[in-house]
Amino acid sequence: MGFDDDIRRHLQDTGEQVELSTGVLEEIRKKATKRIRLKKLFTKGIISFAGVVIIVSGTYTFLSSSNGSESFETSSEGNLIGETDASEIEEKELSAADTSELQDEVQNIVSPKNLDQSPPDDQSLAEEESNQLMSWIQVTAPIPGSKTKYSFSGNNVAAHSNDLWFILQDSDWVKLKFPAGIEVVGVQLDTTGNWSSVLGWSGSNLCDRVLVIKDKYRHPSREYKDPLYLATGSVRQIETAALRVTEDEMTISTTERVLTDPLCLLRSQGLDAVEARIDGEYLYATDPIEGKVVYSLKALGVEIDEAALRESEKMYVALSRSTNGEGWARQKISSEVLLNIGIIADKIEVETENQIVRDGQIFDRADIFGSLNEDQRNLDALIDGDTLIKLVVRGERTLLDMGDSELGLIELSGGAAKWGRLDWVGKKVGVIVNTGGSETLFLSGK
Amino acid sequence: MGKGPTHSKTLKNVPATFDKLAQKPLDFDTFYAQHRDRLATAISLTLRDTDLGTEATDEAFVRACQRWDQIREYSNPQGWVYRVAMNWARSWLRRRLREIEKRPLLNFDSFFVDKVLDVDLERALDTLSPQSRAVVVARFFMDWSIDETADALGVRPGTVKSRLNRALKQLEVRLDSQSADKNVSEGANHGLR
Repeated sequence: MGFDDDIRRHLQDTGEQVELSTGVLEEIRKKATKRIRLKKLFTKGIISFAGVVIIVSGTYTFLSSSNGSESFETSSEGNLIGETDASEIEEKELSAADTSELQDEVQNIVSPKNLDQSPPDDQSLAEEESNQLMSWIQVTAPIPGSKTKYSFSGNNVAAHSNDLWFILQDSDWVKLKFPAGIEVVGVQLDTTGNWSSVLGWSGSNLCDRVLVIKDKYRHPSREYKDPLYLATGSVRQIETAALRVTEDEMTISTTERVLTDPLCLLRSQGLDAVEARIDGEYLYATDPIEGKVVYSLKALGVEIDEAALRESEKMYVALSRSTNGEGWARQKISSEVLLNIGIIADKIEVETENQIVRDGQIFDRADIFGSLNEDQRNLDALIDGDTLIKLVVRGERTLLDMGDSELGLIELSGGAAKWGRLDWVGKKVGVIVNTGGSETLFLSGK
Repeated sequence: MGKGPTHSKTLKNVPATFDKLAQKPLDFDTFYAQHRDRLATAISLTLRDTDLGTEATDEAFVRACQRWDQIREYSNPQGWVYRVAMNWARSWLRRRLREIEKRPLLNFDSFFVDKVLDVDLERALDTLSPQSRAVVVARFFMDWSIDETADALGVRPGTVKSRLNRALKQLEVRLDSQSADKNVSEGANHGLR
């Protein structure tokens, strides 16, 4: 008998020991009927109410416009809109959608904006009609108007905005809650809509905080510290980060800068200041007691070469270690994008310039993307079974190449994306497009 | 490299078709009678909490009843009930966790540890992450295929395969180490005698 059979038998045996309360069909039916009736009553009530408001406001609008009064018209219209929105929210709650009614911190996010699907000029009319079948929606950021970064993980998509993290569930952004005392910069999600591990800063002091990984499903939860040695007074600024943690190993991919922070530099010398800046070989500070002070960087023990770090170029770093091992393997990458990290045969694999990494698969970029002209760039590809979708830049256009003559190319944004990422979000396809700073998320429609 | 995608295969949310479709019950009462207890047990095994498992399953059946005309057309209505029940339970657990954070003296009840027959395997199962346990229960208790499991859990078949593979390896390793510990302990006892 195999191991599978052992587990099967054990679960069946244990299942038989489970003492379930008796299911009462009548109770189920009664509850369902009550909810349906309530929903109907509510909808009917709202429709009647909205109807009355429309009639009343219409009458007053007509009367007031005859009288030349504009103020009342505005007021009535505002009320009507307010009531309609409320009814939609209530309706949503009563409809008891699979999960959304149970989420506590939610925000409507999806803006039903069908994207321009303009096909290339030489496509036939038939292909153009076929393109109409494919609809994509641009997802509204969790905090509209704020700079938001998105990341795919565990068949989910997370958004990072104003130091808050959200996960997209159905059509709502739900706020993620993390352990206290950690400023999260990267997150690994599981498929249940929770975080499974996070990468973040521990410690509130900018000068000596450390980067840690917290792994939720370890028993007990463990923390791993990234022991990067930094020159005196230097601090790390992480712009974007991704991480993967498995039973055996962990990998972090970051885009970061290391720069000299004048206040930290002074603090490392036992000096205090309320404000400081570096200019050339000197550090200009405001001492809380002595006022304006000028220090020579050399006198502070900072070599000129190190001072150059304050304008350090952005680095792309992959950092790996075995969870049972001693040290980290740090690798500076020449790529210009945050690297994708996947799990292949239980091992973490990091994307390179030559290969694309998905969970379960590695592909040579050369096999997927053909040769390119000067104004063409390939950003990412989603390959899964028969699915092949490529995110490409052609001239000044960012396009989805559906790899299918019937679907052709779909234009996602008017500008050329700097980088982009494709991945599954549940059963839909998600696309992150970065056009230099700001990021936009698109989801395939039904 | 495979061929390009077809519209239905890639981006349309087309439910998979299962062989069991032919046996799909037509009315809610039959569906409830046939599947309620088994689903409630599966959810309880996954959550390791019988009361919560039962309540979550009943809640999911209420919702299924509300829109049975729609649910009955799904390729795997059981999978739908399983997913809704798990979602409901997760939300309940999140709320409960918040209560416990506020009132730390509250605690979860322990699972039926005293009732299990193979304590080693039960302990090993306990170390699995919730999502790995869900896959193991779906495959080995519900006897769902990879596709059916993927549909019920809302993930891709590849994810089910890799998660199951990892879970089985983890269970084996855990059982090996438990048996090694036992041998050492028995050896020590022999030594004492």
